[in-house]
Amino acid sequence: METLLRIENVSMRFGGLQALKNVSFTVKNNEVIGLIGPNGAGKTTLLNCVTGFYKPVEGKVFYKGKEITGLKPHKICQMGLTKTFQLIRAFKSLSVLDNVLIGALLKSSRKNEAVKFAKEVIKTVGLEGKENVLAGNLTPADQRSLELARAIATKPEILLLDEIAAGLTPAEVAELVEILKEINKKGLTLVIVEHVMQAIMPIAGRIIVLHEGRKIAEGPPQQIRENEKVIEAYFGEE
Amino acid sequence: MLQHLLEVAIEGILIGGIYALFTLGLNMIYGVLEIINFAHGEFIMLGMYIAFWLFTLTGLHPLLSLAIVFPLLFFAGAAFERVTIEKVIKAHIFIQTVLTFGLLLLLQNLAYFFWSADYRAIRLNFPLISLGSLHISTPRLIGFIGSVVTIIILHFFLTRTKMGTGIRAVDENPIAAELVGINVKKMRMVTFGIGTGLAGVAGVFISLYYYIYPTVGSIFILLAFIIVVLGGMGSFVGSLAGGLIIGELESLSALFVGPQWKEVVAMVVFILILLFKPTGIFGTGGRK
Amino acid sequence: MNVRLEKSAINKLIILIILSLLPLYPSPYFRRTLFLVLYFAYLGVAWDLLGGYTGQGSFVHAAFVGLGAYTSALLFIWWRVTPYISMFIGALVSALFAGLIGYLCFRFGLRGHFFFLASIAFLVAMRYSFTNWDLVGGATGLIIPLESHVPWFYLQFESKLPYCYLMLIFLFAEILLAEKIVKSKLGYYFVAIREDELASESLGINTLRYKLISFVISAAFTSLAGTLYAFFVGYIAPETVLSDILTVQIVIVAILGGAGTIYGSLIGAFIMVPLMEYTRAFLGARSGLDLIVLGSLIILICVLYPHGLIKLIGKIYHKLPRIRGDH
Repeated sequence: METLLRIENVSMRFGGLQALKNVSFTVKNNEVIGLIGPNGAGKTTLLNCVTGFYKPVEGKVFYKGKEITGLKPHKICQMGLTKTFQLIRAFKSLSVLDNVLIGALLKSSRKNEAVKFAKEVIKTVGLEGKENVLAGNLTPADQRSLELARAIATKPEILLLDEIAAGLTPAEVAELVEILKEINKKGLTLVIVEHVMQAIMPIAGRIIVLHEGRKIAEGPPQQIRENEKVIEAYFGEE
Repeated sequence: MLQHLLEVAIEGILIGGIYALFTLGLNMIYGVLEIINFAHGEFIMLGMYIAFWLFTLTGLHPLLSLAIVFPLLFFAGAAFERVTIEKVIKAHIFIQTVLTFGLLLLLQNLAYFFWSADYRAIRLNFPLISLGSLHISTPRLIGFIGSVVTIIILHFFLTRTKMGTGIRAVDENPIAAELVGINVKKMRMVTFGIGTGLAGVAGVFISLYYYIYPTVGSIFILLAFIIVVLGGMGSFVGSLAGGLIIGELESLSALFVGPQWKEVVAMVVFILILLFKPTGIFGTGGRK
Repeated sequence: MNVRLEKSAINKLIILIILSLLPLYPSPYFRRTLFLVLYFAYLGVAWDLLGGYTGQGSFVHAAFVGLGAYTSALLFIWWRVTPYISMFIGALVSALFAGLIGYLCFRFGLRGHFFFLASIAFLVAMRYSFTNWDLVGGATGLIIPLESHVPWFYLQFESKLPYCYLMLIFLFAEILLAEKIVKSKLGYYFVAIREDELASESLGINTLRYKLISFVISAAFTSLAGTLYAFFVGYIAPETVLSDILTVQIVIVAILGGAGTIYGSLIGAFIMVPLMEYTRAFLGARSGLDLIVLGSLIILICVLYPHGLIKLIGKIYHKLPRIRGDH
């Protein structure tokens, strides 16, 4: 399988706080990677370093062999790599369709085409029938789906999802997992950041564990579940 | 020449202290209400006129008129806040800004209507103070000392009283303040009142050495904007340092570049700060 | 879909017909007021593209009125350049200036209150500079000399009537263009930036670039009106075309009508300008009473209708031409 994303020795500091320390891993085409770790492990920071919202103080990020470290987020998105936000950032005073349309306009030169594609994506995430509802009036679960749809509409090759299951009921999580499986089947590579391990285990092919800014484990879900370092990181302080 | 330079430098510090005082008022309002009060300069103007009329009509010394100016402008500001600004506290910042501009137009033109556009001045003879061969402007010195005293009182109010602590809490985090039972609405009202009151007090000090006319406030509001951005929005220490720096800059640029260009110099400095360090010297990193 | 589009076209036609009948009322004073209404509506729409749609509230806009007015006036005084040409030179100057200050401000992500302050600082710095600059007439300003033997060539008419129609043509051309922009990819990107800049970046939108585009378009539109105004009044000075009050009037027109609606500016102008003009006529400009009334009204409207008057009027006549939602 072709390597899509390569992260090499990425470190990030905020003032005196070492948020990431020498993190390296690769993501291959059409994989589903789970990125887990306790609160404050540096998961969101890592996503932000990859997608250009932060510039890492050390290390490099390669996408399809090209270095993308320090590029602006929009540039990275145009290359085919985007993310969703941990806190929902839907365009609240716009309709569901307009939200997704804005994403779709990136790769469709004509508006009609973009509208058609946006409607398809809305269907994929299960928001059909709500096209004209204002995003601000959606339930939190629907807003999460909307954010997913908006990101998919930019036709990325890798999608990084930041705690997309946060605040959802178990039933909603199960539904979301089905949607994610489906979009992965269509060829999209996923990196899923999750605080709760259970949500990610059923779909992730490989799991990477961060703790206090360092990568402490990497491997298939079964192996991770039995890894002592991981157990300690999650339960050690309690 | 050196002596003249030194005199100009001292004058810069003296007026800088007064600038710091009215800027503190603007900055407090920004910190607690997250509103830029465009009418702030008009409260300075009102302070100047009140001092002038009390002096002209009753012979009351301007410094004694402080006892009337502060409470009067405090209540005027607090009432205005409660009746209007409180209603748009959740509205878009465009609306909030335009609202305070409406107040600016109203106050400026009320002054114009009642008191005409004539330039007025409080004619008081102050003894000249000399340090060796250096001459120091007495009215500015009085204004400076008065400002310092007011700022110290304000500092004690904010750090040692219950209400002051409440105001600082709202400034820090209004939601958390609400949760711990602080009456945020009341704090907003009081803060606006204190802000306008401080502008009035500064106005009284300025009236000791400056002309009084209806649009005089626009000079000072622009200075206050510069200072607040230079020192950092929401920063107490920043307003003090910024006030002194801008006072100094104004005096020196009038000396070296020519008095008619001093506003341009101030504006250019302002733009440079906004462009290169928009959080200001003592800014909190764009927290707000 | 077609039905809806037709409806909006009919609405537009009705508005156009009413507006083109109004100047026929033969009172110079009425026509002057009408010109100012159309002028402010035009400026409001231009401001709205940047402030209402892209969400960047600018207080520098009087500077573009000034650049348009000064460029055309100087070119006329020096070489008798016709305003038909010089207005585009002025628009170019304004666009360049907007690009420059936009780049300086947006590069570091100045927004909200900071952008307010930065933009007003640019305006004030410019006014002070023009006041001290003899080449552009200093504080006294510039008088545009009369060349009335070729009125259409130099836009110098005795009657206010042609000015009204000229401004009306500009306003309608602008509204049509603005609607086209708002419905295009450009417009969607503007709104996305207004709603959430970080999310826009994550969707591949170059926010700096689109903010600059919005600023430049808005400035160029604004500048054209500056030229028309200069030839309408025949006299310009820093106090009239570079004043912060002018900027605030533009903002008020756009906001009171309802920011981000285009037609809101028309409503805003029809309320604000006659109020100002007639209070001035009745109460006298020298007393300051007109501005006392204006100030009080601004406060009152802000408090009573913090979301703009278009919502209120929309309730009364909720089939106003719509620009969003018809895909």
